Amino acid sequence: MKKLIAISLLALIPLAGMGQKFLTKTGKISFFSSTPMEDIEAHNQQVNVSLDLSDGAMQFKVLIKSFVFEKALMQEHFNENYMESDTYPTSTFKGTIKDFKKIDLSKNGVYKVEVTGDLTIHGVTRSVTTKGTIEVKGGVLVGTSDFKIKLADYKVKRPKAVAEEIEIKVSFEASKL
Amino acid sequence: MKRKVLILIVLAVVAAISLWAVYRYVYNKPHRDYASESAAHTLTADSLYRVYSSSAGVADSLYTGKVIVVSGVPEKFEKIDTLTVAVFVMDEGDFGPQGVRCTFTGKLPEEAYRPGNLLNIKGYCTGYNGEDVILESCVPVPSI
Repeated sequence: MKKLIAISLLALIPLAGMGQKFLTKTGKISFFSSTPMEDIEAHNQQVNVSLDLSDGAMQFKVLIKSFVFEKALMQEHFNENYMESDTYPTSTFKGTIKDFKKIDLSKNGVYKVEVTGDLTIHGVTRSVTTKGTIEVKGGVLVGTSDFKIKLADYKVKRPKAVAEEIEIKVSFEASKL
Repeated sequence: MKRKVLILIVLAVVAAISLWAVYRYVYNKPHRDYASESAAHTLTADSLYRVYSSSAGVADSLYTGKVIVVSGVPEKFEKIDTLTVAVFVMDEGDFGPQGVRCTFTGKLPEEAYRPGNLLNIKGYCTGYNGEDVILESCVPVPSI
């Protein structure tokens, strides 16, 4: 009998971490760059996002082929020539939210956060730190972040007309598992 | 003199038409209309997920970048902005329940939403992200 109680109690331990994991598969990532000839803009609304507020872990995963451009030709070049998405189908981020403990899930609130982690684009991984906002809204975590990356840092070829840096916007609404 | 001018005018017109054609059909070419293309394969959402999760390389060569028809009973529908996603769940992973996700830009017929209803979906398979197989530009198709 004692063994049974002990085992049952052990089985409950994983539950302590539950109720802190927030997920979505419809996160949004957009990027922008302007050239003298035209604007480059693409959106992806199928981003996987996971946040674990028990340890501040944050993960993103996005399928490169799901980025939609207005111009079909631009989308084709993006996949075939620049991102080489047949070879590198996904882009990922694995990191931690600094000060995640200050996020109070019991009430609505907005928090400025700093996130540090490994960003992998085009098969190249680099450590990045970005600032963002996390809002607790009716039990859902709403996150946003704006940052810039240098294409050359990720060995992405670029036509001379395109700027070296592109602006990336991330937004998501993650619900409890 | 008149002949030369005529030839020059004809050349100029031909050049203008070619430039316009390149602009219209190459530079500004429209996105593929996947709904009007015929499917390369037809299979259950279950089988599709199984092939991708066990042999991604094989699945890639067979289905990625192709228009396919999948059938199954969706677990749920998600709505983001103007998109509706039919979600088929076969497994659990890092990002929660996973399986096959089909994104529709248009509206689905009402009966599609009835729980337990078998759906046949034609869409463009963009591939596998390690968790789900993603189909885009989806349209419902009548039962085969």
